[in-house]
Amino acid sequence: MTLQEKMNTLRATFESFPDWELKYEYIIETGKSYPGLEASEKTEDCRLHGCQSQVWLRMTVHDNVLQVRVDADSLVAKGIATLIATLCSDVTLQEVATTDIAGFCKEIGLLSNLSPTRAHGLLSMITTIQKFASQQI
Amino acid sequence: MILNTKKIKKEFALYKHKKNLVYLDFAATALTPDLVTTAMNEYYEQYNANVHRGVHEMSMIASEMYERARRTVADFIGADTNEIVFTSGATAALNALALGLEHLLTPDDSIVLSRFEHHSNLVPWLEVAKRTGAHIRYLEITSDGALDLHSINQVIDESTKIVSVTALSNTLGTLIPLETIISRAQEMHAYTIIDAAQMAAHHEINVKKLGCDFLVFAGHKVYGPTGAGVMYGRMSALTLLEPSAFGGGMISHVSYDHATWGNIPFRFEAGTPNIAGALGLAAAIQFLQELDMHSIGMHVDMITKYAHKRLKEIPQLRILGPQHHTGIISFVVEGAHAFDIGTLLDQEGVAVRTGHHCTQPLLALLGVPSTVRISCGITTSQEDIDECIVALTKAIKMIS
Repeated sequence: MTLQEKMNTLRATFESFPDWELKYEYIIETGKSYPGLEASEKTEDCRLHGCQSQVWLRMTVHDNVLQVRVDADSLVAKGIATLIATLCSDVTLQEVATTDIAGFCKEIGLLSNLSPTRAHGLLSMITTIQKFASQQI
Repeated sequence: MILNTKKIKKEFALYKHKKNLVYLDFAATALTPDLVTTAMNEYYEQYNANVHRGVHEMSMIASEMYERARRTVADFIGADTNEIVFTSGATAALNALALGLEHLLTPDDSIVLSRFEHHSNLVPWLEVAKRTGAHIRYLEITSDGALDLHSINQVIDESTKIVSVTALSNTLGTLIPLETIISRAQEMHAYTIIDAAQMAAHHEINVKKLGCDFLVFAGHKVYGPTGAGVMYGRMSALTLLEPSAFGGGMISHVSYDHATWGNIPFRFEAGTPNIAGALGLAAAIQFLQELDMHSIGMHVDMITKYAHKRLKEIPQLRILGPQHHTGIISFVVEGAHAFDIGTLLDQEGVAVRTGHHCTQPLLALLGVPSTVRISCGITTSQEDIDECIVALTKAIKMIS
């Protein structure tokens, strides 16, 4: 699946939620069901700053395809981070580097309902992934 | 309840815009009643001029109003008018005190703070200690979140030059026994500074009765505007304070080689002050005085007790701190991050604070990375607390 196709699927999922509760239940369940990172992988050098909760981000590239794995100590942050990591995994570096992922998150309401502190953390995650992808091309 | 919160809410435009708002974040910033913004607008619309400089009518009106605001603040805390310095907030006031008293300190001296301090009453002293070699000591916290009274006589001794403590913990809602601390500090001839940021809005303060040398608070926490604050100093203490900001408005005479300082309090107000802010702050104080400070204190105390009782009904929740909370309650939820709770409460229109509340060392001491904090004010009703409890129960259910 291309990044664009993944984004379309996520948009359709978010549009199907009639209220905030279902949306957050989905975000929380996403976080809960994602395995996260090993304790030894959650090092200071891969921790994101700017979010109230602690978020860790690990990235690898194989044959021009990106893999993003995340973890967080809060369920909501982990859920959001997982959604972004899933979007940006198994797609090409070029797609990740050139797509307006932040704009998309705002459009589907993943960003607009978050306070600047949390949005900042989310934005810094997207920025970090895109910067990494650009450097790897 | 003591106060008619329904009626008081009508004084705040914010409640008209956000009809279902349950605001429980007064410790971060109190809301602003309409008459505060009116007072500030009147300045900009009717006599927008600089103070203490012009000979024209508007400048004279602005100067008179600005000095009248100073009198209002002085009356509010039982000070003399010339003992009130306008600052940009409590943080700025504490920085001015740390810098201005630095010349009194040597490596043999100690500065006494408490374990409860907000970063604003901690970091400036860490910097001063670094520069002067003076030592920082801390009044201890008991296992149940109160100030350890036994530590007062142990920690404050002959080496103590400055004692700077909060009046009320912004994280735990612990009331600090100021009289005992000030009395000990006076015995040891130490200067006393009270951070009244959390105290000023809901409690009567009389600096003369308290006997402190300095006391600071922020405008936005007493239902006034942001960017306006107060530093009170007993006149004899203010004469020892060195100015830490220099420029226009604070001088007596300037040559190319030398400058001398103007009178107190003007020597501590370099540059054009936040005139509208001072006027808004005075309007907020008058608003509180009309509601009656004693009644406000009783209301906040009662509603906090009610919140405490309701929060205790939730089994997964652990309340931090003392038996008696003054306006502020911090808690953690078993198995849930404070961030999750705060995010989900926000979805229900309940505004609380989550995080370390600018007291990272205190939270480290308590062994928790972050807390959820509710803080009550003059508009807080039982219904607000009930709605918070419903939202909280729902949030916990969603997370678990």
